[in-house]
Amino acid sequence: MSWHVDDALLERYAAGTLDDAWAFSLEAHLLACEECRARTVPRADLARVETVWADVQELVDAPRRTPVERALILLGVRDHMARLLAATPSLTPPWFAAVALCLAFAVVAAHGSDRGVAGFLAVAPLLPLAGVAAAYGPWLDPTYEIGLAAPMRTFSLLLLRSSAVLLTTTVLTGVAALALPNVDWRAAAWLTPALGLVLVSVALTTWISAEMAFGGVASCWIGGVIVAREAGDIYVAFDAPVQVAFATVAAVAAIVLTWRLHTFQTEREA
Amino acid sequence: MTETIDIAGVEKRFGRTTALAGVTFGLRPGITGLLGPNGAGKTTLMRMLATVLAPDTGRVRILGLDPSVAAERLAIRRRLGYMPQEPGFHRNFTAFEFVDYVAILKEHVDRRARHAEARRVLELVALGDVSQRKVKALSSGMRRRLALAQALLGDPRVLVLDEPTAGLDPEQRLRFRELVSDLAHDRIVLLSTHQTEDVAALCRSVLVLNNGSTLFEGTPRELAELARGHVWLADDRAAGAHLSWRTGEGRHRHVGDAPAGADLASPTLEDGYLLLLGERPLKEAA
Repeated sequence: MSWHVDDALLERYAAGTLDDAWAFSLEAHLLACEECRARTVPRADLARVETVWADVQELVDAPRRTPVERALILLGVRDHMARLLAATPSLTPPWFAAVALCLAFAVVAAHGSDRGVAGFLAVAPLLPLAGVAAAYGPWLDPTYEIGLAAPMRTFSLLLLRSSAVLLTTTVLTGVAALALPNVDWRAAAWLTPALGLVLVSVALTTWISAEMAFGGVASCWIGGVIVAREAGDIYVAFDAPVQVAFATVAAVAAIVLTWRLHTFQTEREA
Repeated sequence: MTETIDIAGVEKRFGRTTALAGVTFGLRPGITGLLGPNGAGKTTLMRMLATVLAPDTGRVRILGLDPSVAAERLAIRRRLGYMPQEPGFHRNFTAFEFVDYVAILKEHVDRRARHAEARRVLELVALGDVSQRKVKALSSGMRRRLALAQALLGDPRVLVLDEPTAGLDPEQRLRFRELVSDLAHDRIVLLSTHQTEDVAALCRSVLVLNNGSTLFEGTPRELAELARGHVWLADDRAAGAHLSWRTGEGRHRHVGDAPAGADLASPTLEDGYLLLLGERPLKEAA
């Protein structure tokens, strides 16, 4: 090395006032020149160096955001909440794709016959139910046990994820319903049953395992729809009295859930 | 805040199975080893101390706080690090993302501070170099260390570690001992293990469970001393020993009631532990 950086240039570099072109050139020289590196160290502002280093580490280490996470942050969801939501199995692109596929089949079937609309209505409440079942619990959440011992309230996590799942599934199902033939009030007749089934299932998980609660409620729903179909009019399962009944069931389940909230704080052993 | 854990008359049943049958003990800062055969109730006890499981009856106080009271349980969890026996991972996460995720569950909300804390614990368990590697690409030993890293988030006052050295190679186990012994001088560490040498090397006190009951509570030296006069070497296998095995030198090491004139050997903690477990069925049969 035949030349060295002069003191004035080093001072400006250390102070961070050197323009980029000069700074890059000087850094290339510093990489190769031990003597100039040694002269730079005493001039460096250590606090500033640490800040820059922390910025570099942050850039390197910061977890990559998933598409769902990026979308949530764009919608104003805070970074840590977006991360918790993005880790939900039923808030991932493959899940959305599966739901969309189910709905597409149901809509296509609905165009085939009048009973097809009933098929759509029978399937639609099961989608949010499956989404909430997959959102949280020992069966699908690998960090469930660690999460139980963490300060974040288990029920808060369940509520956060379930709300997001319900919202996304409702939007997808709502859009699909618009594609049904002869759209009328029946296009939205699945909403109240869906809410009732989800709340009853979550309330039941405070006594029995999630598999039994969600599986049992889904079976009851399917059984009810089949009975109505066999009785001659499947739409009875979606008529106004049934809607009121589901709304009542949802309200009761919500009250029970509030009463049983404490059971989410430790493992439910059933 | 009291730096103790006190358990009194704790019972836990799962259906007809009694997992814990009136366990009583106290823990102070330092490492306590929890030994016992499979099904002894170790994991049930660990999960109880991690506030994951509630006892049916009995009194549990962690740092002077009652985990059955919601506000106190939250206060405990804020001071607790828990490594479950079979920790689960989001396998598509990187090591860093996994620790970052658990840090969110532990209320580390500020992004930069959380990432700095994730880096700190990953460095502590020597996973800093592989922090960007996917969990599914890590070896089982690395995953074990990753599970330990999440337990260290937030510098907890109580560490509940369920079989932390299972699957670690000898070098990793030594590194684990180095790390945990550094951490334990001013905090409570409860370590469940099948490795008696880890207990002998690390622990200030030891607790032995069998069939949900406490068989022994004392120091590792006291546990080893239980076997003094009950360990002997002989050229051939002796019929009356509880346990015996052929050593590398070709002689037989026996644990049990030594015959007169036996070549007694200095007992180890493992001898004491084996004698303790071996004597119990004989006494029950008598």
